[in-house]
Amino acid sequence: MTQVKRAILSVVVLAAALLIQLTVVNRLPLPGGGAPDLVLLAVVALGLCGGPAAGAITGFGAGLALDIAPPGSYLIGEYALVFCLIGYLCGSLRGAVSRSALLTIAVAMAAAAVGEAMSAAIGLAVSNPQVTWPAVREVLPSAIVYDAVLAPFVLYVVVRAVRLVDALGRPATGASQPADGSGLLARGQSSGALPRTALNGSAASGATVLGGAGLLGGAGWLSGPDRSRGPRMPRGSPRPGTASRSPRTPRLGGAAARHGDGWVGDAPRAGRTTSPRLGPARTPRLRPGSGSAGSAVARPARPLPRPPVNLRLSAAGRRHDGSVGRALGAGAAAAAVSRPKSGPPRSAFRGRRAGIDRPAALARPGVPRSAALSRGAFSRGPRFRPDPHLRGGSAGPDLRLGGSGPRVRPSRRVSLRLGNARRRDGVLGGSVLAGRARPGAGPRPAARPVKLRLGSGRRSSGPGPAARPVKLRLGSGKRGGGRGLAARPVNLRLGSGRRNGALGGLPGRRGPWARPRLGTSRRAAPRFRSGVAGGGRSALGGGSRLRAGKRVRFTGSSFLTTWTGGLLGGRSAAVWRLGRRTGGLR
Amino acid sequence: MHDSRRTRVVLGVLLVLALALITFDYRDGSTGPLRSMQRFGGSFFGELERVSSVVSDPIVGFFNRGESGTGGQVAALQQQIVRLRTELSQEQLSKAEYQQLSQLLQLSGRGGYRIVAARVIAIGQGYAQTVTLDAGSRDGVQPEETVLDGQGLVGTVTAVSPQTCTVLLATDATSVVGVTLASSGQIGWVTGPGKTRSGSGLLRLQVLNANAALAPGEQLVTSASVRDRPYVPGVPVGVISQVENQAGSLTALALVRPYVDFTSLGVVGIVVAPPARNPRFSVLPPAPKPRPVPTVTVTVTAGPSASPTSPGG
Repeated sequence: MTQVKRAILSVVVLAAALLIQLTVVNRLPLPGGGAPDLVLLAVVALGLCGGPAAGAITGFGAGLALDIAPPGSYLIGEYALVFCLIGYLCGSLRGAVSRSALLTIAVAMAAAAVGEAMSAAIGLAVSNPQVTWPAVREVLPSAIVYDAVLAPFVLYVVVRAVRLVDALGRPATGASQPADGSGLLARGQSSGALPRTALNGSAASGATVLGGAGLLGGAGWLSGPDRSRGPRMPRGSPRPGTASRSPRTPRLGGAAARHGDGWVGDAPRAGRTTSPRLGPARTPRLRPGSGSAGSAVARPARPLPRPPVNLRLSAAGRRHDGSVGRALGAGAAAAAVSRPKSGPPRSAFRGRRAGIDRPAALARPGVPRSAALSRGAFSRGPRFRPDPHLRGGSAGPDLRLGGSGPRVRPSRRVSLRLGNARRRDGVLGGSVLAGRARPGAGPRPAARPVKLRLGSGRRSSGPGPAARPVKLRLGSGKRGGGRGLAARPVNLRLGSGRRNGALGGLPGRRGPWARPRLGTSRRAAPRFRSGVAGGGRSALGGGSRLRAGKRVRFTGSSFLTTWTGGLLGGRSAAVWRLGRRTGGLR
Repeated sequence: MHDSRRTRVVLGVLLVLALALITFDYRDGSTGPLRSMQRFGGSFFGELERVSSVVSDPIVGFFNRGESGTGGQVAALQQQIVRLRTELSQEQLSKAEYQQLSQLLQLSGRGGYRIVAARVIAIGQGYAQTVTLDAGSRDGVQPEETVLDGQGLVGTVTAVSPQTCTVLLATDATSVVGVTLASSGQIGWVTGPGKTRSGSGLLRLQVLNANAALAPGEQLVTSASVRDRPYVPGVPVGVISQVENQAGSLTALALVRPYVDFTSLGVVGIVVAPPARNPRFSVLPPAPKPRPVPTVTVTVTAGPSASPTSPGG
């Protein structure tokens, strides 16, 4: 719904901007040769509110409208091309920029300037006789100045409108759920971010899940940009925040921040909306994006509501499992056996992902069953994992123990968990491996453990395995995109891992849980560390692993994400490893 | 930054689509799907513009009036602002339109044109010098018809939708108007300067006869075109303000100040039925006083009564 609302809002905003531009602004006798371009500014603002895909589509539509609306442009498509690029650019920058209102405004101004320059460049490129160097020199500077002056106002109006529209949908969701949960949902849905939705969905009712599924299927992908934020949040926030603050906050903040980012995050803030306006309100709002940065700060400041959220999220795995899992457990339990279909609660995401991933798993013929399973788990892992965790989690202590022992299939569930576990996996994987290893070959277990360990290692290092899985799920869920799964999960894991470590207390609880896992995980952990040391710091190490394995394929899927991530931050290295390791596993 | 594959695919598809549109529009003539798309845009957005002009006209009118009165003196401006605020009522606006319209009708009456009166409701974006009028095919307007206002030539119709039409102004860089010098009968053409600082838009005149003696103050009217499209003959275009002598040039060059103030277009007329015979120079406004036309005595002092014709015409 929120996506639909946003789409409608975009159309309305752009139509208004277009009409005002053509019928008023262009007719005003403004000094200087140029005039402000309201449509361009609207595209910039919507891009900053939405994301790369949404921005690109918005820009294209706006540009095309400007091309064909009388009197029209010289060639149809000129503005569509320029605005499409500008919208994409702004959407891509939204995550990086959202932390600061001033930065956002500065980016809006710069994007508008770039847009003006690009439209002139396009005109020159297609040798539009109307665009000549003298004309460009005449028009461009004044147009840029006008745009820069108007950018903050247009941005403010659009952000207000977006928040208003997002707020319209909240009452419904908010009523059914606790404040925090509703807020997150609203954010997640509004932003279209899968992760949040997934998290909420796990903790929330089936309706939420459905909503999340709808998001995925529908406009959900418009919010595609989330990924970029994901990695950043953890990276940025953990370092400063982790030491001083509880690790949990960072996690939640990170997850929330991305999706909610600026806008979504606002959702909760929406409450504030009424109170503050220009001065204060903007900063926070813009920050919403900053949610990541702000999240660390702000959320800690607001202890009561958000911590619960955090717990839920992180706990989601564990706690949810516990709580939710049980609840789900009943429903999920049945489904749990059939993994692919089991997805039900979160199924929407998983199912889809599964669909995507499965082929890949199947495609690899030569791999032994165990490997295949692991692969399947991998690809599916993120998707399914959540469920297994939940199931397991919910069943967690109880079920696992009982399940794993007596029931053969349950053990498989475990394996699934392992698969899921990849991240945590270290733990789960270890367990699985252990089980299989006995009958199977020594080498395989080792290799897998390593991989698992890597992911898990960190996690394992922290007690957090459970939490991470949850995160992973979330992250993967939202990111839903085929590629994103591996990389994001990793990121999440990392972030969570550390945090988990901080959480430490949780581990205690987990202890019972973890015991089987812990054993494995610990083993993994050392390896993990070693792995980190070698691979993490140097891409070479990772490379070597890759070389060794057949993992190349995997690499391909997760490569870009992991790769960029690696480039961006030191922690990313961990990501790398994970991805590679996963690759190695496969 | 991380982008999902899907996002990139979306971007790629859209960019390819945009480039394809540009390419097709560049190569395509006046037919094809792009035209139908343009027609849709014309009828849909044109209608929206027409409706929104109800609101936008008073706003623009207010600012344009203030602008037109700019004399450079602060006191005068302040007085004008005060006055304008009091005059802002719709009555004043309609009065101004009435004046423009009567001027227009006077011109058309002198020249024998049959015109459809229309108002400017939108102005093009970016570097194009185009405007949208609130008259369209339902009013009998067709592409390539001449648009003029009470002062002289405005431009030509390039696209028509049921309720609106698009006009390419004579100041657009792509506009070329065939003209005749009222004094000597020399023929040539003027091209638009494109987008420039408002007010400095001087048209560029090139006369085929490189040896033609051009002098500031000479008046130009449109010359005849085949089937009177895109410009009907005899419409005043402007007056030479500066002569550029370039040795070795194949044409005589000059800058022409158009009669029409393109920065404050209001009511204009679309010539749907050109005069039965070429009005020649009968519709020219009085020649500028400071510089009487040298050799030829074409000076028209009274409006309708005077109908001198120059030998060269």
